[in-house]
Amino acid sequence: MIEARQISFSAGKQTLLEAVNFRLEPGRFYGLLGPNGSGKSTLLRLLSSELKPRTGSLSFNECELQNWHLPDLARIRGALPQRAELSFDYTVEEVVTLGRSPFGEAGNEIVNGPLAIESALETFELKSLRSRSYLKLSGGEQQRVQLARVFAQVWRAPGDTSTRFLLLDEPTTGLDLSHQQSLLRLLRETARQNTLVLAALHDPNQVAAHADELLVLCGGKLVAQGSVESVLDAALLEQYFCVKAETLRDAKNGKSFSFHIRPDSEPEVD
Amino acid sequence: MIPKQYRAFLILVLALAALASGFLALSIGSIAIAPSELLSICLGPLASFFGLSEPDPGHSSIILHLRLPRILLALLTGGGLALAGATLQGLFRNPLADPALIGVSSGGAVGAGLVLLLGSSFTTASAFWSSPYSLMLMAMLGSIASTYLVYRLSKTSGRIHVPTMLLCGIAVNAFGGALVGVMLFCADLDTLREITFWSMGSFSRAPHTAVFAATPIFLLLLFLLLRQSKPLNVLLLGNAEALHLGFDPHPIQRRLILLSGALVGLSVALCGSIAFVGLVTPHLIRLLVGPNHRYLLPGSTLAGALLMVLVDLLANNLLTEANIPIGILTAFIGAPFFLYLLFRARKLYD
Repeated sequence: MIEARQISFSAGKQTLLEAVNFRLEPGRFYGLLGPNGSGKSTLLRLLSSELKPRTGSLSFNECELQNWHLPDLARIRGALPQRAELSFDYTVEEVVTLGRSPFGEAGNEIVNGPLAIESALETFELKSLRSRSYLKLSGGEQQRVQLARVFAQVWRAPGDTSTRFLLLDEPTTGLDLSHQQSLLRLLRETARQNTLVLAALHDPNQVAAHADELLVLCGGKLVAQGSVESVLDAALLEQYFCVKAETLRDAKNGKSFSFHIRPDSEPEVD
Repeated sequence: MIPKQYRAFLILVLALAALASGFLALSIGSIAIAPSELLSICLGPLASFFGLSEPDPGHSSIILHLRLPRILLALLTGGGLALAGATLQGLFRNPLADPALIGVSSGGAVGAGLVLLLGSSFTTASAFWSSPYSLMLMAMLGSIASTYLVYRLSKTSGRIHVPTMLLCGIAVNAFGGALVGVMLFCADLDTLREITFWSMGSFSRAPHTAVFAATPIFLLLLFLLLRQSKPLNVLLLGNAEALHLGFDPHPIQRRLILLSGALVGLSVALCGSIAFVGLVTPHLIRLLVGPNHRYLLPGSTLAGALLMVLVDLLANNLLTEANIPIGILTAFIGAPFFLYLLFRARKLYD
């Protein structure tokens, strides 16, 4: 469980997050929506200990974030930053293996390193690329390698049901349509296995189709939160994203819906 | 790159080659000393126990007071500079970081220069080495300080700005050069030679007592830095990624700056500034084993030691009447190599 109470963050004079409150539960997939510069990355960086909130408190599993021992947290919490900085030519397998670094010497039998790495490579269709240099891959392939690294980190041995946390900043970046689809399905399945998934996304249709709950940030404030069915609608898209949208209901399954964003939609000038 | 399973084998081969080159260098020189005699000198009083003949006392003195400290220093400095280079390249996430190019060696020279200037001990040649310990200490502090300075200045919002890194190096190098200039300006003729040799890099100037005293410190620093392979590997992913994997980057970076700076400073105090070993060696080893520091660090250390002994052998035996300063030879090899790296980097980014 992640609990945020009145957290704020500012860089210089600019307030990036203001009095944000929420409580997130494992077992659910949370989509994080918001226009550019609304504070999505800041929030994810606060949750992944990269930044410290100026005010307010954050807790993981009822324990304040600053009281956690960083290596302990690394065994249950994986995070994917928006941009990767890697500029040395590790092989794909080496990058994924680094995901197991919190568990003693990489490849340690006790923590099932090889199993975690193989399973992550398999999941992200990287087995055939395992010996290739990371730097020579395409952007989408690099993104899959970074995702595989994070999944190897939070991998669980069969039978282990302890909680995991996954914080992903725009994980679909660079992926083709089919890989985006399979990633979102994977996030949903992963959430079902006692994992809390929080992912910053841009496409409301992806959120509508796959996420359980939704957090909407705008101008550093949490402007909406709740289940996808109750929160996500055309009015919200118009209010915060300045696009005109029509809601399309699935004829067979009334619960599922999607949006048709009108191409001619212009932001209204108040 | 060589196949994964041969990486450990390569380390072993390099270790044996470094050891063998050390023994070779001990026996070669203006007076050749046979391997059997070398062995009995090394074994000391134990020699007769193994049935070896008593060594010539003159030869014994040559080995123990001249060649052994020189070769020991070459091994330790070569290994130390290559290891520091590999570490700095990991720390700066850039393969162009060389201790001499980014000003770490000059920082050490500034520290050492201050000791000599303030102690006015540079005015006579014998006094140059009169306080080797304060020389070593100040050079280590100077190198650590300049590493920290360059790192802080070239890091903007978590990323290393490579031009700033190299420009910082130019500034620190200029300052170090000016300080050496002041020393040269004030020195008498004998000291002039001493300082000149020191600034060009030489393994045979430092007194053997200082070399033997520095050896355990060298070994301790090498040992501590070799253990940093895992944090360095994680750090290559990026600061945020390292943090997510449970490795707080800031204390790790401080530790790396401290250890690599101290290692470079120590070698600067004892044998002056020797450029490009820290650049060329890790690069060659990276071509063989890849960027994994678990193999890169020990591989670079051993290859650096091997390379330095071989270059020293060349410097001592190329000309019969004089020894060529080491720094000149490494620069002749290293400078074109640096250009080649720049050329390659440009092709990569274009």
